[in-house]
Amino acid sequence: MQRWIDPLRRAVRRERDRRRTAATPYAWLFQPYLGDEWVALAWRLGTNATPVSSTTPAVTLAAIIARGQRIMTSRSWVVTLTDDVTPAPCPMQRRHELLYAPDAVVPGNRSSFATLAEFIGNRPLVGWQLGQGLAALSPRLRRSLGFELPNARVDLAALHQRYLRRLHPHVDATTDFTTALACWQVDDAPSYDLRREAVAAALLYLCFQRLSRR
Amino acid sequence: MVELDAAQLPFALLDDAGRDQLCRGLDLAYFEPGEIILEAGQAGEAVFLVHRGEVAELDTAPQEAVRIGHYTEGDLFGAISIINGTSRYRFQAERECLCYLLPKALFQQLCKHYPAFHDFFRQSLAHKAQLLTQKRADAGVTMAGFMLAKVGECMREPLVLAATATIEQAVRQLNACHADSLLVEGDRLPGMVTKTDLLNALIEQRLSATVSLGQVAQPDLVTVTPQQYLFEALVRMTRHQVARVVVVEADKVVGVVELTDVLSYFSSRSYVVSLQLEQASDLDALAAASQRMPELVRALMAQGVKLPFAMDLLAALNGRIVEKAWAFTVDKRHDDDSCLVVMGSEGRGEQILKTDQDNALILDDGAQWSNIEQDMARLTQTLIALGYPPCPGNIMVSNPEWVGSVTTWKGNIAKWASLRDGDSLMKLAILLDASAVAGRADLLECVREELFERCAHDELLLSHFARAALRFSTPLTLFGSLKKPQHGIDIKKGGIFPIVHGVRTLALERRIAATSTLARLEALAEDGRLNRRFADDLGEALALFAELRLRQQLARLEVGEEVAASNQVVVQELSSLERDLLREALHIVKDFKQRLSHRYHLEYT
Repeated sequence: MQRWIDPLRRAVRRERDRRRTAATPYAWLFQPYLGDEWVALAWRLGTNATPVSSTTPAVTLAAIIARGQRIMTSRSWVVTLTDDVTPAPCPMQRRHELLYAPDAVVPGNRSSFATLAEFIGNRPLVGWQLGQGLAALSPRLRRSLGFELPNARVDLAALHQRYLRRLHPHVDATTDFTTALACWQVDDAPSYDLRREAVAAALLYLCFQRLSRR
Repeated sequence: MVELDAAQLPFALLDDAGRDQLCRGLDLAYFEPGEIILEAGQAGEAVFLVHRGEVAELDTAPQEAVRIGHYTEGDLFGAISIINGTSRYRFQAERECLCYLLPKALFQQLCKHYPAFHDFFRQSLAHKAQLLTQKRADAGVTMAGFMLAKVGECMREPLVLAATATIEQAVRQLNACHADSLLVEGDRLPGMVTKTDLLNALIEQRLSATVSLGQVAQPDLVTVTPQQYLFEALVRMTRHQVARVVVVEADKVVGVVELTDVLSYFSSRSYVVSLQLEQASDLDALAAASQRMPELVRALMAQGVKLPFAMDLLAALNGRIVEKAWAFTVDKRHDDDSCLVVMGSEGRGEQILKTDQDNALILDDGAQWSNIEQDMARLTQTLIALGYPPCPGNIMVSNPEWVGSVTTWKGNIAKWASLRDGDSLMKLAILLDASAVAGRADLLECVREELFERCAHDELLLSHFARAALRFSTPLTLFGSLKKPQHGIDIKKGGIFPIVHGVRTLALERRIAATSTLARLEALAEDGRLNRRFADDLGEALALFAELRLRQQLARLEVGEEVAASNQVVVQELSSLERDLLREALHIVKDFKQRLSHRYHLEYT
């Protein structure tokens, strides 16, 4: 039942947000996307020791635009968004900064989220367990911009399970990204390099696209 | 942002800022097997760097596309398409590929700011070979210091006395200056007096201490210029068996370089081996020095010494070994009426590792040598003991056919020139490469003059002679890519022999006395017979082939196998740059063969 309720809820929320932002500069984000580009995402929320929540003091996010079969690593965006409520310097923020080497560390305010929304645009989003990541990010977006990311989503974990079930029904599908990459013979990425993880996610999506054409 | 191997060419030609700019500007693209990455005639929009997979370069001009190139991990393509505007060939993914894409605008920007990066895509074979050597040197070992040191950096002020000064004054001056030699001012270039000369004058010739230096001084000086490499000074010292050379600039003496100066400048194995050679007083000591030659070759290669320089030094050392072997085996009185010559690759100074001995003896007309056969058999055995394997074709002094008077040799030449069969032509070719190592060198010159006289103007003979250069096919496919048989390509037949023999033919026609292929090429370029650029390219191609072969030989030597048969180079085992160089070098050979074919009318033979 939950499988149907969540998308329905999201559709309702999306429609409500679309109407609310109709007269704002963000209205175009709700337009259906007609191009051939998409955005691969990879992220880290908090740390392994800290439970992820909407108030997690640091989020590092990598986004890479891809067009057709070309992954435009030259048009990538890797930032650590800090929580402006938490007093700086927060150890977790520092940890993200050192561990994931983002291009910039910016406060998670309206301006930063606006930049993120501008960068992603209305392109479809692709990522591993995308729902979980966006679920942690959405409250912050809603708080800053007044809406969640309305983009179409492709969850690679779900695709992985689907293709694995179809092609290798006897193999248990894992929820581990590294194992999935190995399973489809896609180059692995070191866990600390979010940009390469986003590239790996993009490559995995290209692999699933090829499988769908067969 | 992408991580690239900064040590890889051409990225090594950029600085940190350039590499950072490059990494930030690269995209990644996936291509399915069979997908066309860049079509022939299409404008180049990016340079492709293969990250995973394989790409084929296809010539679509013929009815059926023909594969002319193959790119794998780390290879670059598409740059020439940007420089030329459009792609001449089709690039197609052979397996699924991941390629980094360097956009045209960024590529052009990098070319503009980094001329070396730009030149990489435009350079000639010579430049690419230079880069390869440099890259090897940077990768492991430091560039050999002695390759960079110039004579000017090491020379000392010359000690000069007037020709009227006495022996007594000279001795005092030498003792005061702690020197071993001094220059005596003459009319043109000065003469030289060493301590040994002074001792000989006083004791052997019983001259008085008041005799002027003009009577004692040696007029023939071995000279170098300040711009020459110190390495070359060492080669000249070894070749002329002297312990010092005079540095001359614009006909003026500017300094002296002593062997001890060179030693203090660099304590390298080359000196140690040559010193051991000079000090060898018996055959055992000579054999010990001779056995160190492969070690010296390895050291020279590891230090990134360019092969022509290494060949020069090794030829000089080999010459000394044979000369000493001669001195140990043959009575000194025969030095005045005979000449020992080495031939083939040894004569050309191109035998880096000892593969076989090709030698002959020229006797002066009327020379008396009663037990010559035994002496020559002993000399051959001595050379075998020194590590020179016997010649499979029996071209050795132990074979009476290769021992004869000047008249006999002239008769042989006349006979071979008129017969013109394969065996005769081979003998003429071998003799043409002859180089004197012991005894009277003028006897060889006399024979060589006869060879030129008989052959240089005989167009028909030259045509027969040149034909051998076309005997083996160049290992390139019909459309110019490298052949890649599993067992490898024969680099001697496919690359070395056509150049050596073709150049030898041209040298015969132009009566060039030099025997080394590089010296012949230089002389042919001077003569105008060959275009300078083409001669340089031929030289570079030969050096590349020789280096590839040498690597095989050293590898075989390492596992105790025979070096003579190691001419096979497995293309698949070479790096992409080496494959590229080999392909270009073989194209030069192909071009050279066509020129020979045209010049000597071999098209229909």
